[in-house]
Amino acid sequence: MINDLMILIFAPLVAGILAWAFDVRGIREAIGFIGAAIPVVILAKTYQTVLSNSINYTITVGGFKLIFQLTALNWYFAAVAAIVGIAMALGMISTSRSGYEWLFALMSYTGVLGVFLSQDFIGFFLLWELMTFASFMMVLRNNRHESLKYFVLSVIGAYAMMLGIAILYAKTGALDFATIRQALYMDLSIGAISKGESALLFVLFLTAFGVKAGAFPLHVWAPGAYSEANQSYTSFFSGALSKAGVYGILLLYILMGAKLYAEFGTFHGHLTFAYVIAWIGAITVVVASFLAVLQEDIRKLFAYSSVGQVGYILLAFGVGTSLGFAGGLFHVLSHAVFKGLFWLVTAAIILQTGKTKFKDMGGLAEKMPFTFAMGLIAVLSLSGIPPMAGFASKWLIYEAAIQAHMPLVAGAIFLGSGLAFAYVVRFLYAVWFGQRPSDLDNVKEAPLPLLIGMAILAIPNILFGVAPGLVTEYINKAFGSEIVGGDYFKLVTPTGTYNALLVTIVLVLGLAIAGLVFLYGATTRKIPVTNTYQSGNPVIEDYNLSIRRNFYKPLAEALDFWLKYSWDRFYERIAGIAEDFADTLRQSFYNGNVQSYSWYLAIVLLILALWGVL
Amino acid sequence: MNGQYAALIIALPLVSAFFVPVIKAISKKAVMPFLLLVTLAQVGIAGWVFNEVYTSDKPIIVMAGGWRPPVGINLYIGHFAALFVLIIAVISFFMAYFSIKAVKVEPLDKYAMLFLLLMLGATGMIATGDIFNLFVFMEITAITAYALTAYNKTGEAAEASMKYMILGGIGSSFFLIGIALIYGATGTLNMAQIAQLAGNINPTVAQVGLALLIFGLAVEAELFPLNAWAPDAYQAAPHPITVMFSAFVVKAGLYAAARLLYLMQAVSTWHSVLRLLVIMAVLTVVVAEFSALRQRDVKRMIAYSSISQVGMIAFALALGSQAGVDAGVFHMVNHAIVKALLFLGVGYVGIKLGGTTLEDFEGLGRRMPLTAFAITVGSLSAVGIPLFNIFWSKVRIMLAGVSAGYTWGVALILGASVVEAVYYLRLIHRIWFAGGGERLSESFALGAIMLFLVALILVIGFYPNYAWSLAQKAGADIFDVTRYVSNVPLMGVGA
Repeated sequence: MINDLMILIFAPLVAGILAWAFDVRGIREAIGFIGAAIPVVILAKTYQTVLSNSINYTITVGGFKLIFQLTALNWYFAAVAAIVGIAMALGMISTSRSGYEWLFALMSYTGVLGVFLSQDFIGFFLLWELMTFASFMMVLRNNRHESLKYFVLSVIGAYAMMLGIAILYAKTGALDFATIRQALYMDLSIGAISKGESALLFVLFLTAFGVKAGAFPLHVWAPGAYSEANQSYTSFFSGALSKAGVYGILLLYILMGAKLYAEFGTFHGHLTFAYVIAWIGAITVVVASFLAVLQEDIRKLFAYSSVGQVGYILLAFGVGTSLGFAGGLFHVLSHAVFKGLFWLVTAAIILQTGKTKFKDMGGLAEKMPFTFAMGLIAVLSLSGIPPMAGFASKWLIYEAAIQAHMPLVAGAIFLGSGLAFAYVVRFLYAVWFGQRPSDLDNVKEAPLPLLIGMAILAIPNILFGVAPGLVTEYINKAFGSEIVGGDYFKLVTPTGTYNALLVTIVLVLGLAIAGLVFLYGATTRKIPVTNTYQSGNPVIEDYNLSIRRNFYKPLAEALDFWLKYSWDRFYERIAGIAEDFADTLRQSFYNGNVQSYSWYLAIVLLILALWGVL
Repeated sequence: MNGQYAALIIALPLVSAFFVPVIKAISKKAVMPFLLLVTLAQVGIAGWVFNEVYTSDKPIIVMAGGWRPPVGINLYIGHFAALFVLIIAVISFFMAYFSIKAVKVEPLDKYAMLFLLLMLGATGMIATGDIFNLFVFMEITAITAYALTAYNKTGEAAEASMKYMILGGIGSSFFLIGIALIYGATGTLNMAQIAQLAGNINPTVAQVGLALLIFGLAVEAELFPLNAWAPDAYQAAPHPITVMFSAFVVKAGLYAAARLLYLMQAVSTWHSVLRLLVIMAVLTVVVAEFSALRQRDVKRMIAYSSISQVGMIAFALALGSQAGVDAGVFHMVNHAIVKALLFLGVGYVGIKLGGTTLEDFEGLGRRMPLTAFAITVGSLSAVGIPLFNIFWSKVRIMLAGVSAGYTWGVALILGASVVEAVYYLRLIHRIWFAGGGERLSESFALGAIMLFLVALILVIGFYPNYAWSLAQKAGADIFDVTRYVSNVPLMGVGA
């Protein structure tokens, strides 16, 4: 078993390097795909083992002991990443033509797996940085400005984490999770870490993980970075890589939960620190969902949507109850599969049409029927319609929030769901139905590998939707307690029961009846798709609102006051100030005048004298 | 073989430097090959010394003229010196080859002579066990460095050299006063004996002496605000010389400062000096990184980056803990490799394209792919991306810094590193994703040198164990003063 973990983590990286080195069409794709598939195989093989005992591997690198461990919990995260990873590889076979992209896509895959499996902070930080760097390189290729925004925010996060790690190391003398956890637990009675230091640690780690998860107000990198990478890769970027941030928050609970609880106590019956996380999640959900609604670019829409959906997970973890964790973990899976699927669908649309704006699209359902079906599954799952995976997880999160008496937070979930519906409806209609622009008449169905990739992600959406018990049962085992009851098809919590199978049967029956009515009862009039019009409303040029253009403009006008404030612009301004400051500093210090340089020497001597050392 | 042959690391470059005019008299064309040959021989000797020290795990003490210290002057080639003498020799060898390509300005024989003396000076500073000898070597280094800075004979070069000379001159004068004070108080110039006696001298004399020594060396070690000469000098010097400045000349100053600092631990104001050094080092990092941000000239930009990295090394060395010194030494090694690679690459671009402004780097990925690749690897390493060597030493420094109680310092350094990431990544974007142009032919041998350095970066990045063990031994050599003293066979004088 020793080498299994190493192969699991580093197979994608090695494959990436090989694919980059042998940059020949066919070979590159084959190597890349194999590299992405190896983790899936190993994870499948270890499924039985991890539930009973963990698999460990320790290696000493540069004086640091790196510990990797496959436990029930991180197997789950790794498996989610692996599913999205293999779908990404299939997508990239169709959409990528460069070894460069394969190298960095697979490198980030390695990074994500490594982050999940690390049991010590050095390995965690190393692979975290590797993951950040690799995903940055994917964006750098297309857009310097957006990639740098992403990288700078990520690096600020990573360095915050580094500082946190160093403080923990200084206080506990350890870098591995188990010892740190124990030391922090012991510290409850010793009190070597003060309240201020605990708060500092919390803020540092929250910043680090918040950036990756795209939590408000550190989310500004996400729209640019997600939309400026190869879209097949974005399925992984948004579906799996952002989960590293979520995983980090979970880690924060595991390592520091007791300490933070002891220092900050409770607030209205909730853990204070968790309450902060819950609200960050709730605000992220609302803000990002509103912004998603207002987007005119398909990629931007999903980017904001992705930020919002990860907000759900943060919110769920912030609830702080076991049901909250279960819901959050379930949503990790469902978000990965439906958002991954969305991005692959987007990849297919962009690949086949070359367009990204809603205004240029329409009527594609007929041209790309399979892609459309996949898109529909994703839409249903994202907007939380049973019997899809997205419903089951959101339902659990909602239950958790209600049960924990957090009505406002639960309200954010509701609002977010409504908004999600609003934006996916637009996607559904504007892209697939309605009038087709004449330049899209020759669009073809997406290539086969991409379609297979989509299918790989679509199946879990349905499977875990109809049988959500499969997931909750695993989560129960991972936590070692019965958090969510029921069987494969039924979720039972203290507040309610959701029978997915029953819903499915009713839904299928309903659809069957509707289908029969449609086939035998309704009178239909066949018209070409180019002949639909705007719901009967005449279109005037100066206020041209259609589903494809400025559809939610009235909403934007209503939100005018809020939209004036933008974190993005705020950060840009800070960056500008920093650059100007840099110039001023250089010009005033390195001013080229040797007399002032000599004065610097004199001043240092003076300081030495004043200090009492001279 | 007798350890006393290790004196050759000093003797060979010195004697060879004096032979340069003779060689020139024989054939003018033979000067540069001679330089190459001498540096190669130096690599051989340094390699032997390195092997000797690390296999026997004991320092080589060379006693000049057979006189035992403190009567005679001794060289102390411990783990640190052995490692760094080897690095100096290897880099000098590479640069000797690069000089053949890069330096066309006459008089080449003077260049070769100064080149060898620069190498000698840095080697001597690291290897010596005598404080006045240290001063002599420091002056040799500094004076050759002034001359080499001005070697290109442009107005800028002359100005840069002038600044360097003035500031360096002030620094070394104070250094000399420091030596005089220490000598007056202890009656010895031997570093091991000074360490023994440091606790007993008049506290005021000791603290002033220490402060002046450190002040003098801080100018050479490019600590803020004494580093104002550095960007100009780095930019104006011939490309191979810039590499040498960054890779080992500044390191020699740093090492000397660290060595003296730890030898004189017993001085009462020792902790204040450390604190001051930490403050200066942190400011060095911050100011240099910000200065690099909008720099239009890449060579100068990397010069600022080099200064900031040196500040980070100084920070680590001034922490006063074993972990800090180890990390600092590790960073020294990594930085020497990375900056040698970067300045080599940038210098080569300067020669091929006639300039080193940012615009010259547009489309470099297409024009000079190998050089572009080397610069990219170097840049990524400098940023501290994992699986490149600097990642490990940077992490070590951060951990050591917070453990030593300088959380604010680490926070500032990390903040400045964000700035560093920005300008390096902008450069990488410019190299690969902007502009274009015809492909130029690249020198095979220089390419091989760059690839060798790239390979070192990656090997240390992927598997730092060996490099780290070297750094630990070399760090212990600086930090463990008792062992240093006991290793020097002092005649029964003093305490």
